[in-house]
Amino acid sequence: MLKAIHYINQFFGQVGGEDAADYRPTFHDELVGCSKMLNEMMDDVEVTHTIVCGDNYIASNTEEALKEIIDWLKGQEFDIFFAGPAFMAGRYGVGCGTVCKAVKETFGVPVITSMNEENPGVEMFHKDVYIFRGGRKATFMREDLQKMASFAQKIARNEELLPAEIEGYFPRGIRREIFHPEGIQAADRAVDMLLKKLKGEPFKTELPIPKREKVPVAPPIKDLSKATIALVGSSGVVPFDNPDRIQTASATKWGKYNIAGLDHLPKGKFKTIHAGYDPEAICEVPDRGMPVDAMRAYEKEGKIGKLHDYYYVTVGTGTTQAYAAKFGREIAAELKEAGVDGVLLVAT
Amino acid sequence: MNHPTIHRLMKEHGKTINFLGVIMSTLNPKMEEKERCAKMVAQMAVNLGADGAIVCKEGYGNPDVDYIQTIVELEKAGVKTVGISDECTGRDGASQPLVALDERADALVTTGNVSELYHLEPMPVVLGELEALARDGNSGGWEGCIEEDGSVWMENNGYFCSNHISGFSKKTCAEF
Repeated sequence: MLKAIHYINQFFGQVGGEDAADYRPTFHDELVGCSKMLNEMMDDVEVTHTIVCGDNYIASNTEEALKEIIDWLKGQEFDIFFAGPAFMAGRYGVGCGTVCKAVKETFGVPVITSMNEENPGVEMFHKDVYIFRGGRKATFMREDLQKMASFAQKIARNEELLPAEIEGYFPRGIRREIFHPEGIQAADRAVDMLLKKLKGEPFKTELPIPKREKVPVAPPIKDLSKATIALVGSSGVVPFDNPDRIQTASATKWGKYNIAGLDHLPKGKFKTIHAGYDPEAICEVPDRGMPVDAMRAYEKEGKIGKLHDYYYVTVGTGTTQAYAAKFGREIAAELKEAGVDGVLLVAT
Repeated sequence: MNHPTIHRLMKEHGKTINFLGVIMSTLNPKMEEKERCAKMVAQMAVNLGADGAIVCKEGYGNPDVDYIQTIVELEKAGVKTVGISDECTGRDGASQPLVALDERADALVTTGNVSELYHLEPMPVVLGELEALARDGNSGGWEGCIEEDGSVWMENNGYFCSNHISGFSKKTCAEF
């Protein structure tokens, strides 16, 4: 019988929702919430403890949170570590990935979690952690836990672990040699593939080449003097108290701030929280990081129709491609809804 | 000639395809020669009226460039192409599988991992000297890879050409 420990967030740990997201890790020898369900699914693995931790706490105080968790784990006996499932919840997914990665590096045990493919945690941690393909929301709890449980059972029984596609986890960027499942020799596989390709039928390459995503260029704006233009950037220029608590590096969120009626971003009311450059020059003149002053001047000249009432901002340093793409999709949807015609994406 | 891909193409000849023949190319160390050969292969294929082609590779590493380049040139010329090759993803499986990659090589058969680590049990009879694997500058073996009990650690490399990239291999690679 192998022993396992299960990590879940404040919501599934029944502490609370967003209001409890700063909850510090607690350790329970009586299983909490979905840990019970996970434990009941396995004959050869026993879940002995649940760790509950707030999503914001692990995101904002990563080092401290990991230290608390790892230190506690050092006093425990366990063979497998579970986290989640995290579904589409981005911060939860990143939390699961962060903890799993640290546990694997410290203890060398198998670490298993589950996320939906759109969860940014997949892109960030699929190389370090077994992340099973999960549903979009918590209604998939049983199914997602079952996949994690079945895999742990295979590990416990010392059964052969099959390729990612068959087991159901996201490939970890590891390619290994196997015998062809149907024992067909390469020459026949190649000719069969060619016949399909010639006929225009679907075929499946055995060595997928990673795709580079190409975004088509948008059609030009016909009349700039009538267009509404929005400012979007990654300079970390935010209102002075950083109301959305955007992280200073490796951002997992963005903010939008009202600039209606402002001719520029006044010093002392705006500042940058970006940890990737010396902030002094931009804190002195925040427009250097988000050029509201220049855009207002163009607006007065009639070069552009209108500057959009909100600017959108995040922090670009250490931020993953997956999160950046997510921010882009979310911001683009809002701008489209607001009838914005064009965006000035300001580099820092 | 006992070449499995040619045999299979001969079998299909007159049924599903018209098998035109074989284009032989050379493997050259210089990039411009590689490019020239790839273009020449594509040109010959077009002159022969080929709709499709299979590229069988020889070796790995430096020849990956010729392999991918030839496939790309054939595809650019409108010849639908499938490639057969092994790959080299490292003992941990995490390295880029081929030296050169191109999205236009969208139909590849893979026959094994050159750097896959094998553990061979001790054998009651050994022909030759086992230590040669560790000693004689063999790729795939290294000093200390022979255990005292006669078991052997080696890379696929040490069993040279075991990936049979002419098409005999019943192995493939998968993502883990």
